[in-house]
Amino acid sequence: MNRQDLTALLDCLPDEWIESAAEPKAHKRIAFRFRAFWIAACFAVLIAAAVYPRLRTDPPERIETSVSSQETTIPPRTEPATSDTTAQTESVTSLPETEHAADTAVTVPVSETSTVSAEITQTHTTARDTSESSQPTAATTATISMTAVLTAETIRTEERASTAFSETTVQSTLSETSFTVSYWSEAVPEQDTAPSNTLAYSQFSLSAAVYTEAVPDLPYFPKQPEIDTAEFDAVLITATFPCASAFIRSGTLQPDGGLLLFVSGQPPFTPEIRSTRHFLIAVPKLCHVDGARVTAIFEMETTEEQYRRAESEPLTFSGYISTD
Amino acid sequence: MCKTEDQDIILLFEQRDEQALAETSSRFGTLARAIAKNITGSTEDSEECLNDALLTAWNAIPPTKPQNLRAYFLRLVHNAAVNLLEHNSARKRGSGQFTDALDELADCLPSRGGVEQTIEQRELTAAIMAYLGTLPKKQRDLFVRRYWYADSVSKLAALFGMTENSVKVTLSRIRTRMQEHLRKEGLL
Repeated sequence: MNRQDLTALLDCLPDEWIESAAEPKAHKRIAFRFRAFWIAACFAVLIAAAVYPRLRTDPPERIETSVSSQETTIPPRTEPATSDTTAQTESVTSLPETEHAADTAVTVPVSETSTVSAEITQTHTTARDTSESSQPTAATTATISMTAVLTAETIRTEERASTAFSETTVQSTLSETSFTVSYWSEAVPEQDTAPSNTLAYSQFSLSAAVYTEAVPDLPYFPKQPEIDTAEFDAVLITATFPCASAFIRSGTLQPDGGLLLFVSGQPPFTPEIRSTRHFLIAVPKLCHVDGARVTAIFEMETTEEQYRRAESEPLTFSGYISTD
Repeated sequence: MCKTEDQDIILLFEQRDEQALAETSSRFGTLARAIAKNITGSTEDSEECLNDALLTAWNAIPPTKPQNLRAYFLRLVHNAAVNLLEHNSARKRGSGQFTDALDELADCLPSRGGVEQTIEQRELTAAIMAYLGTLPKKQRDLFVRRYWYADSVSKLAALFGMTENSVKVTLSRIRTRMQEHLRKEGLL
């Protein structure tokens, strides 16, 4: 097409187009830095909206320690040789967990080399007797102290029963704990002023776990008005003394704060029947939880003669440990 | 654009007031000189074209009463510049943007001679106008500024906020599509 034709063609352009093109809108280019700024701002908002709520809602990761590692951190308990005399003092804390079945009677001789052997006979629960002894001193007019530590591990039986035994087994296990404890003499410092007929003091402690069990309705165990069952748990102990004249002189209870009561009244008391006594320990509920260990330390006065006789007649305890 | 001002100027023309020439030159002189210079390639020729356009308008108004005074006056300037360019070309003078623009556009349009030229010229014009009517305003303005106003690519780039390369590419695409459109219409 020649120029004249093109010119004639362009003359046909409408006035509106020529008018519109006369003042074209200035299409200002937006600088790249401004566009980049807004793009970055949009990305920041999107990321904040998408990621931040997840960060807020996700729970923090927990560092879980495996069971095996926990087990390895606990040193395994070892069963001390029950016939070994060196395992007398600390056997309380190193008791076996599985070796003794709860429903089998176990007789564990302890401290065979002691002057007075200690022996625990447990009918339904696992029991251990740890004895500390020293060489008996020659019989003098001085007082003679005897110490016997008895640990009835009904708590262990209870733990085991909760995991492995049936409910029936547990009840039968907790029905009664009877044991026999022997006592022995300790070296006692001489007392110059002591008379010849001074009574010997026998100290023994009774440690037993308290668990829920109704106190049997025994005729010789009348309800004690001193014991408020809302505040105290009752531990009934039947003691067989080797001599009729022996009596419990005093006693303390561990943990502190416990109340030691006796069925027959305030100590000292004399057994009504030779070699058999019943006494009651009232343990404040706040001192323990169910299955906690209670230790009562008694002091018994005997004469030297009674003590010597007691060597051949071990002191026997049978107890009901109960709470209501 | 203020239509009332255009009407006032037209009224001055009708009243044969010479102030109409001064007002027209004041309002459209800059753009008119630019068009004339783009076509003729000379500042002196652009002034001559402006004066020719003012004289033509003085003689035409009245009885002519343009609806769009600016487009009307710019068209007068454009025609005067084209005529001057043709006159100068005959005398081997001058060559501006308009020549280059027409050469670009002539490559994509059919060239026919003979009796049928006049008949097909109308159809061709109508097809091109229809095609330009489909373009976005920016592309149409770009087309008009390039081939009617005869603006240079650099000026268009500055005017439309584009790069020169973008202006060239846009104009090339407009021409290519126009060719396709004319081919569809059977005019190529």
